Amino acid sequence: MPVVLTSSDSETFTVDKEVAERSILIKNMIEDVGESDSPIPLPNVSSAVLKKVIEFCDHHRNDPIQVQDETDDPRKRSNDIEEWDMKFMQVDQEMLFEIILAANYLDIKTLLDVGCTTVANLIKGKTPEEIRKLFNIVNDFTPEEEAQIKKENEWAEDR
Amino acid sequence: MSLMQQLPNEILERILFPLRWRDRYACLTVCRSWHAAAITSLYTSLPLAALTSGPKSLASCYKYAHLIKEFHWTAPQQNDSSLNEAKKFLLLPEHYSRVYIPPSTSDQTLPLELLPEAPPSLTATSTTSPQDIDDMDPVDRNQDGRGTRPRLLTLKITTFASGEIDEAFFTSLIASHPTLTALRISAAGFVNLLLPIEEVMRNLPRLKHLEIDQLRCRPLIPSLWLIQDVEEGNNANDTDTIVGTNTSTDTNINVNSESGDGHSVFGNQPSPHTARPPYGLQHLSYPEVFDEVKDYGLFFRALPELVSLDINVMTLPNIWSNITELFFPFNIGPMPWYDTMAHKFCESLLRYCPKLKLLNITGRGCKVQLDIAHYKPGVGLHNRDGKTPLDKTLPLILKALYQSRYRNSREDLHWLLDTCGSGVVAMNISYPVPNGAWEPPPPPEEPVLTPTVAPAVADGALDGAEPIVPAATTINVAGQSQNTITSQDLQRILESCPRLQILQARGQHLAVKDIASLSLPSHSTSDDNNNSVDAAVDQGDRSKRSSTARTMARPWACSRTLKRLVIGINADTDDYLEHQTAWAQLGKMIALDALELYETNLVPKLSHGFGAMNELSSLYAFTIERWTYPQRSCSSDGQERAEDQGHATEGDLVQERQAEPPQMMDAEAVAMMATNWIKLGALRLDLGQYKELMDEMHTMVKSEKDRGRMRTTELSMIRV
Repeated sequence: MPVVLTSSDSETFTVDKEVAERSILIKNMIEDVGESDSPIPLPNVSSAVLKKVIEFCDHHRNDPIQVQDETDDPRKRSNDIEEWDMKFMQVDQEMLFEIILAANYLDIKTLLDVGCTTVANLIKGKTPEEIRKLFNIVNDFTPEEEAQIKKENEWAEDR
Repeated sequence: MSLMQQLPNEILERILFPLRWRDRYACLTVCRSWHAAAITSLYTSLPLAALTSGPKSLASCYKYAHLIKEFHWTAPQQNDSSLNEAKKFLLLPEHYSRVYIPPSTSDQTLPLELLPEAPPSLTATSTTSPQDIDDMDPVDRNQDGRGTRPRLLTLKITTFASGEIDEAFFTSLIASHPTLTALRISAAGFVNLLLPIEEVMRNLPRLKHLEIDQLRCRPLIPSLWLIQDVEEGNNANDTDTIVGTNTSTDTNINVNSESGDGHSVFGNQPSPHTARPPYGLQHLSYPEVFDEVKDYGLFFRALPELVSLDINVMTLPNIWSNITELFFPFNIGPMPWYDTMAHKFCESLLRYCPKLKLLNITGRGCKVQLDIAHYKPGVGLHNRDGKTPLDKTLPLILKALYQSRYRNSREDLHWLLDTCGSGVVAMNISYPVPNGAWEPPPPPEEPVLTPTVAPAVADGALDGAEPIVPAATTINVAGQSQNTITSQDLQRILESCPRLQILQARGQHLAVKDIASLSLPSHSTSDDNNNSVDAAVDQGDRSKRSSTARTMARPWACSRTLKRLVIGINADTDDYLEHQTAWAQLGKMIALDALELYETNLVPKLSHGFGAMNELSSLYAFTIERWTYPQRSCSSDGQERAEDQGHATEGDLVQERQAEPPQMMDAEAVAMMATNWIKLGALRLDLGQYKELMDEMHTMVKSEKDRGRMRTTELSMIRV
């Protein structure tokens, strides 16, 4: 039984139910509404992003459902990403950002984890200035504030 | 504004949590919009050193104390002041909760999702409903009526000095955090603390989640109210009824009269905080099975809400199993008293914890899980109301299965695969195999579990209407010491688990002869066939031979589901028949997404049957690591083979045989991959000792790439 999804720009996608239900949001919607032919609107997701998300869900359609052992404790999350996922995440920053937001909205934990880990790997080992440059962020702290924050949390500096 | 500045804080926190403290520290000063998330992630897990690196740091630790979920108690360099500071800090939750948490955000900013993810069945009940709050003691609903914050405090003790954390400190620690809903405490090294597990449950009335790792627990004394119950002469049925009714509100009434006695066991003053059994614990994880619990019936009756139970004997370095090994260094087989305890454990668990959905037992000497599995629906066990058979609670998900020192372990494994696998979603199998001959697998037993209890979790690509089959989707036998998993076992797993998706067997070896010979009705026929193959060699009747080779391999049951396979497959010689059998078998695994051949000697050439892999159109990653060239087969039939194979000319082969080392992969094989494996994204080849072949391989792959046929973006050649 296929499921029809409508993106924010009104493009429709027909996907298998098991693929769509990698998204807990959609899964709950289907459970609540019952099976119907009417498309499920996803007003927060554009078609370009939805296409990527579906690609991800399709590739992981047979993955075992995560059981309790994979706790949501983010520190336990592995920093390793599977090959395919890593390739999948080789997109520009805007798309990466959109995918993370969509994964959060659609409640697809594995995709959210992959996205977050991808960003974390970008941040790893960089100075604040390098991070700003990487993400095109403007420093809005005064030098005094910056010094104070550093001083207060200096225990973390070399750990 | 940069996109990354628009990320919601919760997502940013998620990104930052796994990073090191210094990385989170760097993010503090990136920009204002990142600051809050960086602070949260930084203080979520706090090392002892944070308290000791100056007054400013200490002040901010108090300031952000409400964020702390985990405390790393690393060895404090024999500095008494830091130790006392840390103890003081941990004992003052009311200080920071009252002063620093704005009431409006307390419940929103530290929601339940910070708790470890509950098992699916648990989510509905684990959220704190208003009702729950009402049930709580009035003291919990403090001052401004904002209720209490669910907090997970993890205390990690990593110290070798005894006396730093003692029971008195621990008792005051839990007494000063009465609102904890989850507690994880772990230690590394020797810690001189016997955790008073029952006191923990008493003092933390909201505790739903308790994990104890690498710490011994003080012997569990069944609460007096339960003992009294039994002394009153209640037989099993009567006590069941009482426990059954206890789930409603009269629990408290029932218990109140004895609560004073209950506390006197520990010499504690009863406090308004204190909980009484039955406790609301839903997840319990602790490292011991048998040595401390004296009566499982009484223990589990106090935990009727238990949803998951996790016992890892392995984490505790020197307990029962090791002691036993010390005194009985030889395998003495199952001990009757031990089995009796396992039996009682299972019976109690199944009888008193009807909500149990997940049982995870690892560790040596654990025969419990088998006993659990032996309890089949309706076999003399009934739910608390005495009517409903227990099949609702079955199948338990046996997650990690069976590590044992027992001789019969091989049979147990096979029995598990045959019968009770329906609940198995993941297995870690490790068991010693006595050096000896493999015996043919026993004939399949009657399915014991009825199809109706097949769990939804294990649904694979196959439809669920078929009779019970091993439903393991992930099996991990990697990293086991040598000879614990034999080649036959691997073959056995592959051919009997039709829903298998992932088999991790790095370092384990599957011999091609097992892929082939197990398919034969018996060993004698196998010998016959070998003979006939030999005969065929003599006659040079290649076509007949090759078809024999193909039909010899018994199909792997997981051919439609297997996605990831890490294994070492080895042939005895470079006789192409063996390689052809192996490649043909692998080529049938059409769902394969990643294939890693680790420590293998299969020759990936068309002349060795590699062409059979052309069906693997969804293969994304192909890895050959630690490859070695197989032993040369004797006689001159290599040359005969060459004539037989259209792909390699005689000249090539002669050349190859003369030139050392031999070629690993030929251009035809590379072309085959390029043409057929349309999804191939990563190709990793480790040429082992044959470094000279690197350039050659590179050229071949590059030429395919240049032709636009191979879209591989990553090609790594590992030099050893």
